[in-house]
Amino acid sequence: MRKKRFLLIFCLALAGTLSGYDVKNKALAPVKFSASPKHADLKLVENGKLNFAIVSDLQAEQRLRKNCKAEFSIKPAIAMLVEGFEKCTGVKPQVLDIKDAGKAKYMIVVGDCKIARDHGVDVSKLPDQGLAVKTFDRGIILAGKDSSLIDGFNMDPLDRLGSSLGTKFAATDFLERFLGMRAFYPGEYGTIWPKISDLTIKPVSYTDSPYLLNRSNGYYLQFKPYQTPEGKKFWESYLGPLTRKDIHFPDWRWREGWTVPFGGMHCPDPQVFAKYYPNRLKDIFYTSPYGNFWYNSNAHIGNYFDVINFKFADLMIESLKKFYASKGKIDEGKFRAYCNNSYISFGVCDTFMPDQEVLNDPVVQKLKLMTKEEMGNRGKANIYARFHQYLAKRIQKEFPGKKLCIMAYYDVKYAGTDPRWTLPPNTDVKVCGTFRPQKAHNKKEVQASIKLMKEWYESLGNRPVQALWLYDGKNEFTNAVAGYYVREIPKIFGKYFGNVSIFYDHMDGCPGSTWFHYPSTYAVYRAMWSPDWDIDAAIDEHWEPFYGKVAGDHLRKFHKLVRDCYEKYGMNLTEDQPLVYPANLLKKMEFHLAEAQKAVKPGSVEAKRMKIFCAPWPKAIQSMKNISAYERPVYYAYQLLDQESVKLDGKGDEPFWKNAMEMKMLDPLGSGIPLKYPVSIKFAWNKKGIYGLFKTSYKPVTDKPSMWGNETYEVFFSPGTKMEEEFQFIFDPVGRQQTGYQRHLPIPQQYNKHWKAPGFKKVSTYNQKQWTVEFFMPFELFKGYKIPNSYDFWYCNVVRNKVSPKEYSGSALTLGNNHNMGMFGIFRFCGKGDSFSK
Amino acid sequence: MKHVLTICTFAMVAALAAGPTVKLDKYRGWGDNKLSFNEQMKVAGDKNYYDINLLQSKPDKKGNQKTFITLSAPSQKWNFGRAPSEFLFMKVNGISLNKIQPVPGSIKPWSKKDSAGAEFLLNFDGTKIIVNMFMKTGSPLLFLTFTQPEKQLVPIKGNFTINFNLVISRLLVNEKKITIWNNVYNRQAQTESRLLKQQHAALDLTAADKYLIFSDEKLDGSGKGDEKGVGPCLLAFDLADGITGKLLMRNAYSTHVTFTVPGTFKEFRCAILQHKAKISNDEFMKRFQADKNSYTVLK
Repeated sequence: MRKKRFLLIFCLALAGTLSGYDVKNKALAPVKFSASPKHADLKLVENGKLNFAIVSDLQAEQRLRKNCKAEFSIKPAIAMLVEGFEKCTGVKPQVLDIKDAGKAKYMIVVGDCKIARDHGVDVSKLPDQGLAVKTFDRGIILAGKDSSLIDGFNMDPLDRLGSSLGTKFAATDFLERFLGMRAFYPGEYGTIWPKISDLTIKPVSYTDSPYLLNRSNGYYLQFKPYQTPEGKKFWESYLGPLTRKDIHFPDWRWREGWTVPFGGMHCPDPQVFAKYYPNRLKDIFYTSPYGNFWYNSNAHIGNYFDVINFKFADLMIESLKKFYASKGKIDEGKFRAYCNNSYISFGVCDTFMPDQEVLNDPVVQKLKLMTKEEMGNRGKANIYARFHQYLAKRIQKEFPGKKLCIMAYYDVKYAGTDPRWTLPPNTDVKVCGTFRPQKAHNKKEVQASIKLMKEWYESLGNRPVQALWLYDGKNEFTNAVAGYYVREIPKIFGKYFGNVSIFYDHMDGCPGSTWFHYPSTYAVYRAMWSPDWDIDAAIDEHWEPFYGKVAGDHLRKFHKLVRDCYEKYGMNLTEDQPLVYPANLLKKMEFHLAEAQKAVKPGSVEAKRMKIFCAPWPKAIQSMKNISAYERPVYYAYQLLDQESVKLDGKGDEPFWKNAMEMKMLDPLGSGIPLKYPVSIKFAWNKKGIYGLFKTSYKPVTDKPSMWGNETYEVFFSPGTKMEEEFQFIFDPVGRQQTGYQRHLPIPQQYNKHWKAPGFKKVSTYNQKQWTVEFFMPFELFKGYKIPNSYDFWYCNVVRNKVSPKEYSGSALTLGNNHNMGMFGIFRFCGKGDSFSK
Repeated sequence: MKHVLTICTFAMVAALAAGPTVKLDKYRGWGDNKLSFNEQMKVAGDKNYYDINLLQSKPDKKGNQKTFITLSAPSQKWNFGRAPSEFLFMKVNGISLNKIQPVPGSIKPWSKKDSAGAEFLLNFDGTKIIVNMFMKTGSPLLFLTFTQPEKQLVPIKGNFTINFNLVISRLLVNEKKITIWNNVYNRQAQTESRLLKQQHAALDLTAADKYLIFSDEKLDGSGKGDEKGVGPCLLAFDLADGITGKLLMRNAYSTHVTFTVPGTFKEFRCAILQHKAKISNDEFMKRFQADKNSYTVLK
């Protein structure tokens, strides 16, 4: 009873404190203060009574509607303020048009209007998406730069401009700074609305504007988690019922917004472009001197534009002319997505091409576009620099005022360093995937990333890279902390990085786990507004109000432990090393979670929030324990006797298969959860080669246009004992396959997907109840390796990609990277007569 | 009370009078968590008992695994229990025992009225060697009989070898507890016909030798504690049908006996004796002389 009374007093005190706001609260965005106006304090709320009305030029945005294609800013700002006051005070404030302003004792003036201007708030002087908050003797002005008040804004269908929503952001800032609203995730539990019975505002004046002009991630925050009905249901089981506003949570609460129609994505679409120019495929896609034609009509992956012969560039320009002339109606390359009146994008497909493919190209040779030393490293950098330069100059001529937006991705990772190919001023770059925020304190990685950015800066004629695409971590422990490092990016890259955008790729599926890691997610998007935002203070402030004193303190300790562990044990790991924390620290984490859960009342809001916070951790901690205990699995492959043979017919009914061992399959991510959909994987061998028999007892998915849309198996072998090379075989039930290999030692080379695996044969049979595939890999196809003797071993990994229902399984704990040879299992070639029949 | 005592006595006598027993189990002890294959034969007679393990190690950092046979009872202290690698080793058709792949069911126990043991089926890439290890009533020895199936997938080419490896009585360590490998020992082996002293070169064994009682003159198993080791052990053998033997007994911590067996062989018989408790050289010889047959008769 005493405890409850104490808690009640504490919460009331907290509420009181929060209604006694601090404009310089470290948990909020730092703003630019100017001299405070001189007037008495404004008692906007007194003993629960609202002494003000919300006042605005309610027709301002409507007046321009016919000649302005912008998002509303004033209207949602008003709606947010009404909602905020109603939630905090229980009373809905009145909303008055500016002409009725005289009726209000005090006013909250929203948006640009005469009152705002009369009191010195000139939104035209604010930067892009800027906001201004200023008190006066009768109220407080919340206004900002709004595109919705610009006559003629965005009227050309190809303008594709984002809207400046300064007033909306001013309203958000007001709710956070003066009412104490704190929003961490969608739904009824994710936002704190402190109870307020009194609100007196002291004279103040400040402005603010976002650091990054584009801070939007509709894909991962508003679409992906709820992509399917099951996904939405999943999240509603945690977050409560989700309204449309909840789905658009980041818009409402986190000042998501963008103004620059920056492209820098995959463009043109290879399949669409090919469809429109079927007779020009040889110009569009590259043919190597070896005769390999890099075109895949079935999927995005596998296509490689010809950037050496400029016929493709010229064709793209001709097609773009039609696109722009028709205002986007003629679209032969899905240009609409990434080309507009500001930018024309060029971006490669998700395909690597070995440098060997181009080294002997006559143009490459003649112009010395790539040296042998550059191969396997920055290989094609100057090839692409030359192409980009050409394309940009053609754009300059044909589309003056528009910029080429380059996607620095895959083989375009590095900037050209040859001064012949410096990029002209009408070029901008988005660098994708080369810097991981969670490595911000890894000196080696940071130095390499700075070098890369510097090279792009110089290639751009000493202009910054304007956009970055960052990737989140691959496991819960990394995802829980990675976002905290986003704020360090401007400092790390300095002048090499501009201020257009950071896209944070959460790499999450549906439903994903983004909201479970809300502190990290919060850190990402608040840092985009201001890298100086003290996120640590923001998160630290929220534990007690969100969970209660005892639970909040345990979660604070848990979260600190997770962050400290990552800093100590994870920061300097390489890509292939597993993330493992000491067992005693995992035990401590479990202790804090357990104590936190005990401290909340079942059914309370705190308990509901606890469920969200704790959701990923039991499985994540167990996975880490499993990874720590991982021992390389050993598979003993049955050796066929002289009189035994395989008839490749997809049946697998030869008697010897009973003597072959089944390969154990598991969750490659280390959860330890048994497979729901078992599969039988068996191998056998003789001096000719390796035989495989894979069987499922369920109907496979077979009707997708892309092989990857169907069920697939991936079989990896690394022959010998030195892990020098890996050979990959991928196949689906309908007979499609993809093979490739990559050398890692002694000199790493790129993955060669043109390797056809000569002699590799398979037969697949499937029906409503099963899929059986029998295959044979002759030893000759593993060039350079001796036929193994009995009791020799290779390294091996088998992956089964079940797509619907989804289940990812493998024979080794490769932690999400199927090529992670360091974790491959051992494939032992057994002697004659060694039998594993049960 | 008297009746109970009588019944118990009869039960004990009956138990003692019953033949040896055998069961399959797993080796439990140092390093058992580093094994990928682990099968054990536990055989117990009226005079002694043995645990013999067929083991395979998990892959090391380089991916290598090792198959080996060890003795973990009646004592792992020296002699056959603390072999440098394993007490029994073989090489068939150029393939070492360490390389082969044991499979589940490699050890098949069996039991008769006066004997019990198990067949260890060892497959050397299609060439099978069956090692029958067993005990008999009245004998403290572990008998080993090596045979091959009538029909082999792959016949034995030429000869194959069987090694017994042991550390006689004990090995010595210096003040830093590091093994002294050689030059401090006084190994010897008493056979039926001669006393063999340690020497650098390997020594040919003959059919007349019949057995080797291994001991160390100075580490004679006397006194309390292990200072002077655990005393002697024995290897009995039957060199017939062209089977030859060599003894490598240097002034070194380990001793090795190698039998070379023709590929056409029908059977090779031998036996070992490992004591549970330490025993002095003198005491061993007294017991040996008192009951020689139980120590030396292999049939």
